[in-house]
Amino acid sequence: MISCSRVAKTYVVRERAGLFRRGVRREIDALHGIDLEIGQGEFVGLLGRNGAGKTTLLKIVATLLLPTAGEVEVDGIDALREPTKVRRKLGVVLAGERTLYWKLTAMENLLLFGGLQDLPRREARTRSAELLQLVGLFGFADVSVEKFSSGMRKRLAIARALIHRPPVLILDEPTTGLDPHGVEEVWEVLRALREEGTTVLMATHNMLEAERLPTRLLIIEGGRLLADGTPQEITARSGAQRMAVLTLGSRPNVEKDLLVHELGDGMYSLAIPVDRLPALLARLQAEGVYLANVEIVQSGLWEAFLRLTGRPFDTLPDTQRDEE
Amino acid sequence: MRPILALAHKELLYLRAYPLDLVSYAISPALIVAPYLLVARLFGFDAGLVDSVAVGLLLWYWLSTLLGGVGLGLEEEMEEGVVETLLAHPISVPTLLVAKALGTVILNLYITGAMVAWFFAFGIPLLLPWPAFIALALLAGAGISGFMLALAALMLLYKRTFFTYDLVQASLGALSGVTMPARLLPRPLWIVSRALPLSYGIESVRRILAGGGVGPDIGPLVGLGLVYFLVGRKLLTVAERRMRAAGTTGEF
Repeated sequence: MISCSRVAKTYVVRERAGLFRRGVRREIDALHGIDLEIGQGEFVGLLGRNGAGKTTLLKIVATLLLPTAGEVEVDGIDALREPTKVRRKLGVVLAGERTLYWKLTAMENLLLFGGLQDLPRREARTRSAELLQLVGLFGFADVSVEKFSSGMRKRLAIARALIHRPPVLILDEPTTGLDPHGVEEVWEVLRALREEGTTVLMATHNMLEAERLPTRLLIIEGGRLLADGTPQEITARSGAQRMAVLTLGSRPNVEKDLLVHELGDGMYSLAIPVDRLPALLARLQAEGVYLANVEIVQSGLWEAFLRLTGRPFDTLPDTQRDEE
Repeated sequence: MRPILALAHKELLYLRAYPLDLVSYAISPALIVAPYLLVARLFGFDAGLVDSVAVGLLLWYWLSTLLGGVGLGLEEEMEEGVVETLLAHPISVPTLLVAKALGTVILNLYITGAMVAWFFAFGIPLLLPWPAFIALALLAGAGISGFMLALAALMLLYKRTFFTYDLVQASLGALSGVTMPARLLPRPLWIVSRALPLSYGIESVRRILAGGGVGPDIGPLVGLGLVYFLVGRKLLTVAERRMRAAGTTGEF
């Protein structure tokens, strides 16, 4: 459904240097020859840190941004030569809340954007009602969007993007800024779309989201794709694992590779990959070690992501060129 | 056509959201026409000239609103933050601007009604051949569409273009002879006025007001209007391409 071939993007920016002086002209390579194939029905997560190139890639696929080089096709249509045709195939939810007309009601927004997709009014109205049901806003059809919570706006934005039944949905950080309930509400909608077989390309930097929703995950860093696979595959390949932290009533007798930390008052803590937890628990039980607490910490993907992309503040990507 | 109607409908829904704007649109024409008409009366001009000034103002107010409504029309979308979302839909920027024009024309009917009412209040009955006047007003609107496209192009590139709008609006008004015949301008400015389609539109309106036909001015109005339209269209295409290349679709 989506095909990217050697897609590159270089931004040209000029730094500010006071009122009258011209600043340094700088070229920033946001994408370096991305090759990507996304098949029908795949739910693909694009995971990367801020500035990694996620949004740039999404906007190029959505025809909002012209690449410096490379080719993009959506459903076999050249996105650079026939952007209007491609836009008919896409539903796009951009980052931020202001992707709707706040002074209009939910229904008015959906009817407006249905009109932009050339849907007949009656069909748009029926479809809008279906979508409001899907995103749990049926009872708010005639309420102005400005009265909505952030989560409601996000769900309405998703409904707006689906108004013309697009085969491909593009989402840019759909849960940023939402509380856990809001996140869960959006996820519920996205899970339903996944079950329906909608092709989705979703940028995120939320590890839980990246781990729970996509059927396939891409990790992007410095404008390059570093990993491609299911979240489990990427985690396993990187060597990162979910860890269990145990609080114990006495020092355990464990393998040398496991670090035991003394907490004081005769208590100890021990961190262990979760796949080794059952064997360890059996042994602790056999040895009569008191188990005060077990806590599962850091998703495996979190660790994998940091391993693949470097620790925070490690690097400024080698993608900038300054010119006087 | 459906996208244009949907967007024009949105323009009307936004009037509902800001009802005081409608009050402003009804009152502000009085503040604009009053100084001109009072000066015309104070200096003892005859009723014909007062009518002529009134028609010039009527046409000019109509065209100014259209110029701003379309040329600066994307400003509202930028402030709402929806320009990028709109551009992700299968509609072109000119489609957006046509919808803006349609919305502005509908709004202008209301404003024109208010303005005519003010003229009556000032004792000017405006005995116009209204169908011919409306047709010419629409044609003059089409004649300055190139300027609207050029302003929209600047807006896509620079995001705020109020100064340019003021400059274009004031220059167009002065050079095309809104409040005085263009032939009274100094010769270099008169030559410039001959290159503006609106000059011919205003002269046609004055001619029909004097009881004549539209005369030979329709040709230059349409011809020059077309040339400016093509130039404006080209500028808009270039601006849109540069905006998409620079990645500033989401900026405002």
